[in-house]
Amino acid sequence: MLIGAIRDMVAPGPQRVLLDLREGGGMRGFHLTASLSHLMAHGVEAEFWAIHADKDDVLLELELMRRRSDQLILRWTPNVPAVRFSYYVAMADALPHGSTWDAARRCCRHAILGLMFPDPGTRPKKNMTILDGHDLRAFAMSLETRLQPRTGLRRLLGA
Amino acid sequence: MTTRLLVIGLANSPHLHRWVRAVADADISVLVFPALQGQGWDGLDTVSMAELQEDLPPGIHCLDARDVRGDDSAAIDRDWRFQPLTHQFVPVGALAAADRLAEAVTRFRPDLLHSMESQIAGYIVAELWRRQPRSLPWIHSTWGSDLALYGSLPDHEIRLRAMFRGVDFHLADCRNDLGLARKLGYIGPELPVLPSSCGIDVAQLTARPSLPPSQRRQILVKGYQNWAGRNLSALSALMLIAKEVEPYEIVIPNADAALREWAGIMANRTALKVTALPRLPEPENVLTELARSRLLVSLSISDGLPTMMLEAMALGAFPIQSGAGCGCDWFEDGVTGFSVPVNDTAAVADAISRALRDDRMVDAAATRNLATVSERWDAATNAAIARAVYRRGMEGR
Repeated sequence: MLIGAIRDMVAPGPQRVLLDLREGGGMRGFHLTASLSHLMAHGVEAEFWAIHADKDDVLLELELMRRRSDQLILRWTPNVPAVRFSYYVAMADALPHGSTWDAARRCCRHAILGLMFPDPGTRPKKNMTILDGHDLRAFAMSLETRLQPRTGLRRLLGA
Repeated sequence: MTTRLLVIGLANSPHLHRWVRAVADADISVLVFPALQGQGWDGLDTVSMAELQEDLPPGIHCLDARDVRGDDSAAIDRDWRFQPLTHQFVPVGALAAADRLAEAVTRFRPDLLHSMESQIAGYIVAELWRRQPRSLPWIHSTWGSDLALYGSLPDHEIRLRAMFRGVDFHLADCRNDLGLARKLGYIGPELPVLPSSCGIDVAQLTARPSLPPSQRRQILVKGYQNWAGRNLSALSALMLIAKEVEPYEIVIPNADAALREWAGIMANRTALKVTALPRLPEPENVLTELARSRLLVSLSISDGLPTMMLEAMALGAFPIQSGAGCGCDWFEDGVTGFSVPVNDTAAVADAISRALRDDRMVDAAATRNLATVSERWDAATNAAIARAVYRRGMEGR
């Protein structure tokens, strides 16, 4: 029994991922959901949370995504008590800024950004990967390799 | 004897206008009941609710769009325990009210009721028949995303099921909707699929000077980035093949703010020539742009039969259309158009690239596509089918 419990604890589990689904103001949540559809088609398992505004178009998209992924997809705001994520994933015209962006990065181990029109000289900051945002399938494939279930040790440590 | 036809729908919609104009003849008196308060049929004489009576002369009439909702309509809805539901972008306070529709039915005494579009018009008719015994045949047209998108949302599925319980005749603009309507409880006869706009005078539409598609140096991108439109992804696809696209001008008519913004960035940051046109007041202007274009790229997560795609086919612009709707029922995929996955910009880019490289393909497609729309989007032909449906509805009374 004890061995079974330990095995459950250290077994690989889905990673927790924070998605930035804001659309507009330079953020491209619809590009991100389009890209994620490739992952879901491949059956990638992750526990998704989302940053979003109460905009009707985004809420509709989120509802469709919930049905596709068969997940609740909880909302995250900077006020949500300490939840740690393996990845924060966003797509945007250029490197985002602002308090939500800063707060999201602080609670994630690594940020993955798809940028469409980065300012010249944009370089990834610490714990950040920048990818081309125009090729949605390539962005998804890059994510897929990172979203493999966590190893037992990582899972035990939480993220 | 004059047939009285009550049409409820978006009174400012060009699709509704085309349909009503196509079916109207000397024996039909059509009353359009605007499904949204304040949005009437510009340029048409209106009839107020107080003036409305059954002896309207043959022709097309529109109820005053201010009269489709009363000050007491919200209270009446509450009395009936009715919770309005519609598109997420439509304020429920703007919806026409079932009590006013009931009054229009009482005054006009129509022989037939035809609702066009579900989430705004169809739900109101369903609520009318919940409140009172059904007194006339109900024909309902589904448009675009009515069933494919909204039918997958639980709240809307319940409303759609309630609606289809009462629909006598379902007219679909997309073959996919036939099966979806059945799943939602429709038990009436299967009718021919007809475009939501019924038909047009194709000869008149194409009577404008234009070059063969292979000689055109313009790419048209549909201007919508919204609840269903995903045309920033179309621009992303063009960015993936920017070098190849450089000799062409990219034009985006009726561009939403996001597309205008990207057009500006692309024009500044790349060698691409991108022009976002603001909302064009006349549909004629978009047709002129289509007639100058080698191809049309239009992406959405959900669709029925896109009218702009039909216009493109008529005017020689090679259609590259997301596979969400019924585009590929109208063109041969890979030969006279491309049906592309909306979420795969690389695949869209590949389709665009092929359509830019293959002169023979786009020229041959233009000939075949014109023949297709001439046959299947002809106003006279499709209006005869629609009138036959109306006659069938009246026979069942």
